[in-house]
Amino acid sequence: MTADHRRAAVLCGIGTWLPPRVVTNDDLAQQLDTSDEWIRSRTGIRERRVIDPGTSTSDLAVEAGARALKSAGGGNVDLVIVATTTPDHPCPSTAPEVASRLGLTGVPAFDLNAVCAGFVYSLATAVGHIVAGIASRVLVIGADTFTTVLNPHDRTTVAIFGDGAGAVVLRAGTADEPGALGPFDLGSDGTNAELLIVPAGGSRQRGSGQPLDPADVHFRMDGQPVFRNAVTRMSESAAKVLAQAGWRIEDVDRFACHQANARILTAVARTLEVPEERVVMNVDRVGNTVAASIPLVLADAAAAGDIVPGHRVLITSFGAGLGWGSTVITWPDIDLG
Amino acid sequence: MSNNDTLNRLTTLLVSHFGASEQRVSGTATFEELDFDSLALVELAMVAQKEFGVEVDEQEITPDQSVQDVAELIDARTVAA
Repeated sequence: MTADHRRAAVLCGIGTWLPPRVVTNDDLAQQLDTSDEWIRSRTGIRERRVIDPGTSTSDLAVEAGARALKSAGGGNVDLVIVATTTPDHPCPSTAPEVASRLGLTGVPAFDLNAVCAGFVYSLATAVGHIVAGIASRVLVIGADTFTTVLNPHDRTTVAIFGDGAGAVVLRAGTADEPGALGPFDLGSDGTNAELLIVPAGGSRQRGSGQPLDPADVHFRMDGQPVFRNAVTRMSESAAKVLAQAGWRIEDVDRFACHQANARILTAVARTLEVPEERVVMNVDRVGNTVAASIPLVLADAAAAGDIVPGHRVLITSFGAGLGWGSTVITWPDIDLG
Repeated sequence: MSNNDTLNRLTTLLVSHFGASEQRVSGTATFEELDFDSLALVELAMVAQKEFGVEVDEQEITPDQSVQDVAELIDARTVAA
């Protein structure tokens, strides 16, 4: 094989942060008509982390970002992207504050909202900046406090989502290096926007002239069509990115699928015919952490020695929008901090 | 009445793909009796579509239907197509 010296974005650091408060299924069963058995059989989730009052998305993002920078050996970056659907405020974006708290005032910084697909979209955006020569070292953070938009009486969504943050540092390098990201497959389907939605809070409701219905400030999900779309879109997108990369399914050492729900993960793996032991999973401990899901599961698996340098890793994600995205990486030898 | 081939293939799928107990799967068993929850029924609709090449909506398979009912649904679609 000839060396590929094209400019590429190479993963050189990773870090995560979870709020300390653990909420177990039994904790939820004390407030809602649910049980540990019901939640586990339908979602595979045992517990999740939830922020305490006074904590926000930027707090989680700063902690994860600092750890990713340390893992990358310190030094500056020249772009910060925060993937989030739960910013600290509707305006301004959260990334500039995160950058400043990391000592990066002056560096370009913006939020990217693609919900659960946000981290993969942000990786693609960072790769674009690096390959185009606009940036040479980028901090990409996925951070969400999705528990802040849940209806506390909706046993389905309360059981699924948790708070957290994960971050990576990408540097300019070449396509033949371990850690080079890509190719990518990204897609969206706005005709199914209603399947996963927080109806109020944006211009559609504020510009309507209608009084605010308090129920509309919470996230709603239509489980069955979401399940079908998630499995179909992630399987198709993963297959497309494998074809672009020239990998066969047998070449995939580890499969990092958005940690939405263990049942979705299993169904996607079955559809793609990825053996179960190659699927990395931490949804049982953290639930669905939205934009933080992919970096959290990658970091957890790497820390546990389940992903090791040289492993060929397939990444795929899906979320509200609908939006989905996939990419591949050969895992580099990085300091896990 | 569904043809036996469809029922046999569906039964095999329920055991191999969904891990349903071979002893419990029969034409008259309902999906509720086989412990299929709402997500398993969606997955069944998807897998059946792939296996039999017919369109099955996730709302069309309900917990109170039997394996035989779904085999008949698939056959009706196959003939229509």
